[in-house]
This record gives sequence, structure tokens and C-alpha cells, in this order.
Amino acid sequence: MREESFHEGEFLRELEAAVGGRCSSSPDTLRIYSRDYWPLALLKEVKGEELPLPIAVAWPESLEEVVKLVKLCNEYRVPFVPYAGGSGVIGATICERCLVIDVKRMNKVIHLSEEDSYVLVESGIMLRKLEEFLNGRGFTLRHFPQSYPEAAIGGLIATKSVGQYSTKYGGIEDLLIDLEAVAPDGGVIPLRRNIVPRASTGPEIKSLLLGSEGQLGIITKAALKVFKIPPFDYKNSFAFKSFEDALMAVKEIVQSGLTPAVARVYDEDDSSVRFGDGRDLLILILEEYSKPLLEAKVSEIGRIISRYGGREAGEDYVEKWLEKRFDVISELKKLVVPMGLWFETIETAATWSNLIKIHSKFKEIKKVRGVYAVLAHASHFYEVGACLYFTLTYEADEKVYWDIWREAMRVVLENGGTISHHHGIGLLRREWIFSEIGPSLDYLRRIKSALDPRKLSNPGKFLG
Amino acid sequence: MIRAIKLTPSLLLRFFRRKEVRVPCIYCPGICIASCPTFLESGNMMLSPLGYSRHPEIGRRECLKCWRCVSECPLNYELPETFSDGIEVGLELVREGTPMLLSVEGLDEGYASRLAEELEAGFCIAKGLLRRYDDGCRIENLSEIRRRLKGIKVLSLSPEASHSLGIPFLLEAAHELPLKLEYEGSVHIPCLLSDRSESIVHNLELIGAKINGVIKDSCLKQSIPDALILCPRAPKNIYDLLEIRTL
Repeated sequence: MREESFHEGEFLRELEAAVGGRCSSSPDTLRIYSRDYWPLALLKEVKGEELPLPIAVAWPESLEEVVKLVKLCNEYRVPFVPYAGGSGVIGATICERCLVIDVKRMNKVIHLSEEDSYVLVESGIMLRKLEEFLNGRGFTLRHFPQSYPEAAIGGLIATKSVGQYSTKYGGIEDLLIDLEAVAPDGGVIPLRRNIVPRASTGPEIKSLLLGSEGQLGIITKAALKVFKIPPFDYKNSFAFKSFEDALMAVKEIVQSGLTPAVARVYDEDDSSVRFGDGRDLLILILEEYSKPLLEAKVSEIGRIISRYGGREAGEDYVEKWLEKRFDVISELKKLVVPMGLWFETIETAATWSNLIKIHSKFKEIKKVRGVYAVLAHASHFYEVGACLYFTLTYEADEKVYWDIWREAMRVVLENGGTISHHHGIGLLRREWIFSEIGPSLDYLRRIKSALDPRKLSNPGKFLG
Repeated sequence: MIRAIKLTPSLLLRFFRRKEVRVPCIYCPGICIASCPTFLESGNMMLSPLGYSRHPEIGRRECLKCWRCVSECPLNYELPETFSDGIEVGLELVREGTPMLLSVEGLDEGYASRLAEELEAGFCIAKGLLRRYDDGCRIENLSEIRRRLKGIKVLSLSPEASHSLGIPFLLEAAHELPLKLEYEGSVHIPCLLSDRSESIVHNLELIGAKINGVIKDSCLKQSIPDALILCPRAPKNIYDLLEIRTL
């Protein structure tokens, strides 16, 4: 072991040899890899503040190279952090003096089984490229987070992501059949011998890696469920007298087994900004493989919506949403940044009985000094509840930023919500995770210590 | 919308004193990134629009100026023309005639000259235009050039001139000319014309080609696929295969 006499130059030379020169320690490269899409980190960057820099970035091309890199890090006691699309919003990839292991050259589709409806891929494949590949063969992953254009599969698993169609197709955890990873000590956690739909073979490592944010090793391959592209769909929007009425309508829809692919309930503030319509709006998309089934569902859903006072508002709002759903830059460029403002999105989930309470209390964050808008919608519905998603506009100032977050976390924790539905913990939420999961955190940390005794795999985050 | 925002006097004032965002990529997570050939090949964020926008000197050197990022950008931000100082393009008329074949200096003058002679067409040369796609710069007198070409039936031999000047690509109007092409196989669609794939393939078929595959995802500046190449930049391209049909 060389921990006592760490020579950066020697490490970098061995690094270069390990990946055939596919690495860099140039200051510009380190700077661009010094953050993900965490709004606070971006704010610091545009204000000219220096973020903690990694020591180098490497682009391995194979499992074997990832193993070499992790072993090298163990030998030199250099921490490492996996990096995929860089589209996370919680600062999970910020890791001072770490080796950034960027998996995006590991981007192959290894196997698509059309017969069994699954695909085996390397973890660096970009979600969009995978979706395009599948679409060309009549299949789809149906996983469309807002980061769809820039995210990569490994990062989505490590974040425990959901997509906009999750109400029907599930989150990444529902799509993930199995994975391969390199453990923090450089050992390989392999795919199971056979791809199977389910197995009762003890606790699954894949569950540990889901949402692990790079703290338990590096995901290198994933087997994912795929779907045939549904040939029949229905799109419509409905206006309600209140946010609650709309939510209760969706609750009944979901609990009646009429699950839509997409359901999004916008409160009147969010609707007015996004659609220029100041009513509480429900955006609905249904997808089915049978036309009679689709028609039956549309008819039943129509009855439920009417009972809750919903009135048809047309397909245009759905089309507008579809057109803009990945566009995070237009408003920033046109209005937010030019006015010296900044942005944040905060998501939570709660059971039906707590959703309205959280929504109304969270909206009071608008009273916080420096906050100008708190827009809200509910998306990602479950039998037991839903995700609430808040978009905030505020003074481009770090103090205001943390004032918002302290208040937001207080509101969700005191009113039955989770601190994160799908963005994850990262550096952003680490101080609140214990408040939610309590001593379970200690057990998770013990698992981390067992797998990563040297604390090399993305240290400094919630697992220590 | 107003009700959704907590309006304060200072916020209102700022609305009227908005500062322009000159490089939006700085604030973007990389919406266009999966279309960037250098990024897809390397996996390196520095070799993507995120890197090029922060370091124009790297963009000048490494970006392929394929403009795919522009078509993916919700703002249509023209990043590939921000890497070097602006230039003025000249237009030299070599021979009057209709249609007028437009070539780009240093790119396809030889092909244009030969074709113009065989078709008894006009011929002109855009001088300096190539720099937009080699160095990544803005054409300062673009509107003037476009104005000069207005009302003339101009056809461009290169994707570059067609893309810059908004004039039809010769192969989109091929069926109007006495041209024939004996070819069977795939065709590579130039990056700069990726949105015109259907019309190009249709026209190639009208002049005799049998197209059985379309390659849209690769950039010739990276590698040349085994296909019919439409860019005069490539050593062997469609202009080496086109023949004049005798009427």
C-alpha cells in the first residue's frame, strides 16, 4: 500500500497506463467535471466561485478497465466517483481530489431480447440513444425523466430516477432486472447467471445499488425491462375547481385500475405560468395495446373526472407539455437569469391523506424573503399517494437558497412527506436524511463500511 | 401568470433592466449533447457543446461544426459560429446562366465548374464561406449575400452553402436537371442537411439511384461510412458518380 507516500504524478502515470491514455487532469477538464446540474453548484460557477476539483477524469471502455481504476484508487487511497450523464441535481458527483470515472464510453447495447422484452446495456449508454435504438426495433424503455436528453443509464440507476410515464411503467427500480457493478474494493459484482423475471434468492444487491449515488461502487451493466411501443393512445386535459378535486379524481382513477401513462395535476399558479390558464389542470395520457381497452378506460375515466367536477380543456395543453417537457433552458435564458434570479425544483411524495396539507404549507415558502414564485404539480401517481413537484424562482443568492431548503425540508418532514421522491440526496439533502430514515442510516453506513472500508467510493455523502 | 409571482417594486424594475444572456449553454445541462459527434465518440464533456461554449478555442479546434447541436437546442443557439471572429463572404460570378450553381472556394469549385459546363448552367463562387465550418465563425454579411441571390435560381453543390445561404442543395433539385445516377446502396445524409433527408432520398431515386439505407448519425469529418456520400468534402463523393442524361 502506498497511502503514506502518495505521489500524484505516479498515480496519474499509472492511471494513464490503466486506460490507455484516456484520462485528463487538465484544469479545464477538472472544472467541467467538478459538478453535476445542482443549481447551487451552477450558481457558484457562474458567480466565479471555485468548486472542489477532482484530481483527474478517466474514461474506461470496459469492465476490466473500471476494475483496474478502482484497484488503482485502492492502492493509492485515492477516492473515486462514478460519473454518467452529469444531469443529477443534488451535487452527488462533487468529490474533491477524487478520480472521476466517467462511464460514457461504455455505451453499448449488448443484447436486446425481443422475445423476452429486455435489453442488456453498458451503464454509460445515454438514455436518449438507448430509446432511439429501441424505437428503431419497435420497443421503448418508456423512461422519460426531464433529463432524458442528457442522462445516462448508470446515473439513473444510481439516483433511483423516475420518468414522466412512471405512473404506468414504473420508476427505474421497476425496469431494472439486474445489474453488474464494480465494488469499492475493485471486485466485480456480476450479473446473476440467468436473466429471470423474479427470483427469491435472498436480498438483492441491485436494490443496494439503486439510489446508492456512487457510494457503493460503480454500476457497469444493466438489464432493463422494455415494452413494445403502445399503438393506441389518448391525450386530453381537464380543468378542475380545485387542486384537491383534481388529485382526488386521479386517486380514484389509479385505484380503479385505470392507470394512465401520464397524469399531471398542475395547481393554478403552475398552470398559469406553463399554459396561460389559471385553473387547476390535469394533463392525461393513456397508452394501451388494444383499442377497445383504451376506449373503455377513457369512458370510465371520463365518468370519474365528471364526478369530481372536471371539465375538458382539450389536447393542446398536452401537446404543449410534450413539446416543452425537456426544455429547461428557455425560461432560464429569457427571464430567470436576465433578472438576476435563480431556480430550484424540490420533489416529495406522500400518501393521499397528506398531499393537500403539504401542498398548501409548501406554497407558503413564497413568503420567504427573496422567493418570488412557488409553482406546484403532482405527477407520478401510486395507489397510496403521489409525488408533489415544486418549482421555485428566487433571488440568485446562496442564503436565500438554503432558507428555502430548510423550510422545504421542515414542511415535508413535519407533514408526512419524504425529503426526496426521485432526485436523491447528494450533498444537498445529506443533513436531512437521518430525520427521515432514522437509525436505518446507521445500518446503511455499516453496509458501506463493510463494502468500502477505506471510504473511497464517493466519500463525504450521506453514507459517510 | 402575474398572480403566481410575488411582484415587488425591485423585481418589476429588474424586469425592465434585464441583462442579456449571451451564452445560454453555460446554464444548460446539455439538452443537445446526445447529438454531438465528438462527445459521443469520446464521452468527454469537454468535447461537447458544454465544453466548447466555455472554451471557444477548443471549439474552434475540436468541434466538427456539424450544427446538430443547434437543431437540438430549444433556443436554436448557434454555438458553432461563436468560436472565431466574424468574417465577410465574397461572391464571384464566373458565368451567367440558369440555374446558377454555387460553389464554395476551396471545397467544390472543380465539381461545380465541370457540372456547370456540362449543364450549360451559371456558376459562381462563394469566397471565405468555408471558414464558417472550419473555424466556427459568423458570416457578418450573410443578409447581403442572401439579398444578392434573391430571385435567382441558385443551387448549391455543398451542404455548407445550402445551410448558410438558405438555398436548395443541388441534389434536392436533381430531378429538374438532366442528371442520372447509377447507384444501389445506402446514402449518408450530411449533418447540415439532416432535416432534409426525405427530400434528398426521394430526388436521388428520381434520377435512378436505388437507396436501401439512410445513414444520418455520423459525421464525415470523423469517419467516412461505406455509403453514397453527398459532401464534396469527401475524397470520393456523388459528384464523381453523377452523369449527364442525354435528352
